[in-house]
Amino acid sequence: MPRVILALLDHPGSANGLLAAARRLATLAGGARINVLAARVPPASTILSTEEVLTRDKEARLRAAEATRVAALKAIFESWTATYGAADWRDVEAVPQEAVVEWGRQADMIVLERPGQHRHATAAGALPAALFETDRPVVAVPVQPAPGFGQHIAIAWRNDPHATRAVLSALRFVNAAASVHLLAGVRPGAPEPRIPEILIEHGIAAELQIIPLGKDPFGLSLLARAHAIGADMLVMGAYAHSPWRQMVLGGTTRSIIAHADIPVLMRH
Amino acid sequence: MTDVILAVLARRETAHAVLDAAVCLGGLAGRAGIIVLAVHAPLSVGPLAAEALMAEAGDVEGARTRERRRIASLKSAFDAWADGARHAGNTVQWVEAEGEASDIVEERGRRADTIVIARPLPDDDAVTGHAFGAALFHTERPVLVVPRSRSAAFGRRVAIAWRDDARTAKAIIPALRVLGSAEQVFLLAGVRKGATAPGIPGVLPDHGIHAELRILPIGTDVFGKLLLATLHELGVDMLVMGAYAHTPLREMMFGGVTRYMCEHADVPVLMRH
Repeated sequence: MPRVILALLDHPGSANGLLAAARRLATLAGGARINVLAARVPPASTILSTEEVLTRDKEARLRAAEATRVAALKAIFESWTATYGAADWRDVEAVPQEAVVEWGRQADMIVLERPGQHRHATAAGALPAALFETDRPVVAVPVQPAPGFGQHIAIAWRNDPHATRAVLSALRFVNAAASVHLLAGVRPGAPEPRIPEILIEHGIAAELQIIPLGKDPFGLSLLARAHAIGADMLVMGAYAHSPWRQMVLGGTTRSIIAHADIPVLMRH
Repeated sequence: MTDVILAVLARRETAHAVLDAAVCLGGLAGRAGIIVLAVHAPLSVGPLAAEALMAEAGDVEGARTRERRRIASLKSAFDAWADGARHAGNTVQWVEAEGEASDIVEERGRRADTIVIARPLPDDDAVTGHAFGAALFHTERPVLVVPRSRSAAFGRRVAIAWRDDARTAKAIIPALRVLGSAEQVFLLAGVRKGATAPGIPGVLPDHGIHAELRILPIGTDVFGKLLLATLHELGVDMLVMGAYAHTPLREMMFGGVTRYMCEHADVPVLMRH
């Protein structure tokens, strides 16, 4: 069964890296079709309707700016498909977080750029929407992902059944990893965790790495350790801040996404 | 990474059907780690007065013997099956646990990728019934509900009971791998009189699955009955559907069609709550 990867293009400066990452993920997944999506932001969604008036002139300017951005993305896409073969292009005028949910639900995995790398990027809201509303694994990609990533996986481990499930279903996409490390944060004096049954049952040979929880933010210690062991991809369950505010990412998740320079595969 | 299938055995009469279905499902997924689970009922003696205890002791001993025999018969079904399952490329493991069956099925089920369990029978005891409900509604996993009779290989002609909602979408996603190796896939959509018929959902063609749409009218007859008759007519050997509970508060009260199919389907049904 061919899988489907949805790549959401956002800033032209990240597009090449994002397409390369989508292609690498397709290889890791054992073959996949790549659907590429670009969302032109509708002018009406960029203003506060109670505070501002959308003049016809302003509307035309906003629309033209979006058309230029998407045309640049399309040009990158086309030169990329000329080299690497077919992928599907879709561009729509829609709020990115809505478009990614609509198309993401029909895919098996969503790939998008790590937010916060460019000013004026439109897709900053797309990541939490993709994570929390599609029930699909989501990969946040840095501007220039290493070409052969996905061989040395670090799992940001948290011992709760939902996170475990999320991590496991994400791991399915990087089946052929050469090494898997489990990075677990442990408070001083707390008993050391063990490799959980569920990983053993699934035939995943992981090595445990303990990260003492201390004064440094856990997300940063985790990324430092991931570097130290030569990980080229991070897998983690993603958390919402609270059930009432599903769309706000939890602190650790947020700091990891903000600082990761390797692709981060997440699942809610 | 290997797929993990949890096969839940409760009764000797259904054990072979469950075990064979687990191997067939493993074959559809490539290969699998099959964990076969049998749960002992805990036989605790309550705090009774001494004379009552004397009178009960015989009963308890009898119940213990029956329980031992049941587990032994399940184990012998496992032993007879295990070599063939290994030969088909799977790893197999026998697990005996003691405790509340519904708790153990829930805990173990959550760790697996798919659960295989027998369709409830009218004379099941309460423990077996609760374990079935736990598998279906509390594990958040796809559950293959297997009819009592040993069925032939399934997965060649598959039907999806389609409803345009999140529950059905949840059922289809894990089933996609099974659908990929099917020769024919039918999409059975119930449509009320006067309502417009749905189209084929995009997720299927995107995954290279060609499905044939069949419209079933809602309202003339019990829908489950019509669904079952259509499965027979089309020669379907496996059904995929969402599993519905009537209300979130009483998850154990199955939704109408879910209950009907659990009680009557004579092909394996892959359900996801």
